[in-house]
Amino acid sequence: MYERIVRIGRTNYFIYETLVGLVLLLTINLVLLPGKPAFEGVNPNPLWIIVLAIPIRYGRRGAIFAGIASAAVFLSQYIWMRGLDAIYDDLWILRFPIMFVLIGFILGEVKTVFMLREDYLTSRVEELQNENERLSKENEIVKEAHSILTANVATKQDTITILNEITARLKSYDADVIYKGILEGFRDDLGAEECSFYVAEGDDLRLHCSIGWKDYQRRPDQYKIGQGLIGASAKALQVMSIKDFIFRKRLREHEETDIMGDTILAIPVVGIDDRLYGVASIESMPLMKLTDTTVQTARVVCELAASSLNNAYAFKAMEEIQIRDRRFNVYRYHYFLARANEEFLRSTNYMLPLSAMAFKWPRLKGLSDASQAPLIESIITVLKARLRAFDVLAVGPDEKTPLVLLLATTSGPQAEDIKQKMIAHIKEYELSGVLAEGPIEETIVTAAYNPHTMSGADDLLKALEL
Amino acid sequence: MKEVTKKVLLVEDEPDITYVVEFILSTAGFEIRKVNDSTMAISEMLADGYGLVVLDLMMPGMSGFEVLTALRQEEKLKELPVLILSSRQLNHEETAFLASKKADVMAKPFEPHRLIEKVREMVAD
Repeated sequence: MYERIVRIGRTNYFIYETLVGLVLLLTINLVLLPGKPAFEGVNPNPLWIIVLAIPIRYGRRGAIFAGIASAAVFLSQYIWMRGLDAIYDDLWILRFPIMFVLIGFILGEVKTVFMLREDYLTSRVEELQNENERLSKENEIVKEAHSILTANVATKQDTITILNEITARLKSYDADVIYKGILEGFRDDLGAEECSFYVAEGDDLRLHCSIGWKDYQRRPDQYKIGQGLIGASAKALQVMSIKDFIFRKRLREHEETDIMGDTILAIPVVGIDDRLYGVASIESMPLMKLTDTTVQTARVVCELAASSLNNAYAFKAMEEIQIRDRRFNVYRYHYFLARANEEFLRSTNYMLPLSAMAFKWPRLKGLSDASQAPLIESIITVLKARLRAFDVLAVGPDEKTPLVLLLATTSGPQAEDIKQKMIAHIKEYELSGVLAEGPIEETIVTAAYNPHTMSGADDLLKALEL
Repeated sequence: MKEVTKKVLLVEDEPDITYVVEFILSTAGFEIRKVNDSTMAISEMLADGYGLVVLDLMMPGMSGFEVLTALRQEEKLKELPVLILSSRQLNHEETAFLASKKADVMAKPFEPHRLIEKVREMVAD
């Protein structure tokens, strides 16, 4: 801050300038005005040049030196030429040296104040400039950080949006929908061009669905667990990528593994208790999109899918245990009864027709178990050919009535029509003799909802002689 | 065109059934609100606009039948579609009662797609 003052103040140039000036003036005085010591009678006295110039230039130190030096020169020359008595005779002559010192000092102080102020302001300006520079740099850093953060937030928002969309796709109780949803998520949200899902079945991975595959591509329909990148992913229950293959990062135990099927990314879908549902595979994707973020997102997608699959398979298990007869892929009898109740109430509420059939084939019980099952399966296939998706074909209550059928929104005449078509089919396949001793027509009993005579589903079942 | 309200009130005390129904209906885009105390069901139905109520028959406190009776006594809830979940066979009287209260029934266990179809049908009516 005070560099300039220190710089000037510490210089001794004022000494040289004062002395040179005084010597010059003294010389002029002696040469041009020899009879007038210290410029006696000259107004203004030329020694004022020194007294005024030096303080203005150098401030306090210069002023003191110049003032005293000028006074000393004045007095010494005057005394030398006039003698000391002349001073006592004319004390008024002392006004010059006194004024030289006083005025010089005052000027020097004023100058010093200005110099200090100037230097303060200069330092302040420098400080502010430095501060401004620092703030500018900080501002740039902040701006850069802001754009990085904005980009990160945008990226994260994009990721969250993508995950939200994919989650909506994966929320289903149907495993097929979920597998397809994984691939659609890979395609629409991650930019995959070709992808597939292989379902785990024992030691094998069987192709379930694919997106983007070309007809000419010959990719395996099946892998063994441990075979290829897909099999390695299934075996290790870990994400495997083309990088792992190239750099053998996680494939050390699978030294024989080759690419097989052009997979570049394989992600296992693992449910509770480490149950492997299958492996999602990406075969083709723009290289620039195969980033760590993409891989992580794909992994999260598969985790979400696994959670949905846990539910889906739980529902399926429940359905198979409680609703479906697993032997013949028809409904269980208790489910038939429950549905009969439902549909009866619906018919009552909305005045809708309702019918039911019972298949009275006790001859089936005479067959061996080995013969019975295939025959029943065949009959079910024949019957189903005449049925709608929402018709309820179920196992019957006993061996006398092996099958029953509920036909919602079907009137009595319509049920009769369906019965006749079934009979035609049975005869076509020459099953009549196997199923009944007498006419096959008499073995199929139909009953229709009648609001006047029936007050509950029991009445309908009674009409079927169940 | 009638605006379809996709908000469903589920009155069920069994956590497993609640989870299953909620999961299945949410996959179909329905917004589910759950109440496991049947005594709070009516006030909840009155407080908010629901497109359908899924009501369990066998509950502690007020049974499904009682809730249905109380519900139909409210002017605002007379036409509210009600789907009863029942795990047992209904007798004649119960069937007739439900018919008189314009309630539909779905037996437990049920197939997920049937539940969705039923709810969609009832909400749209």
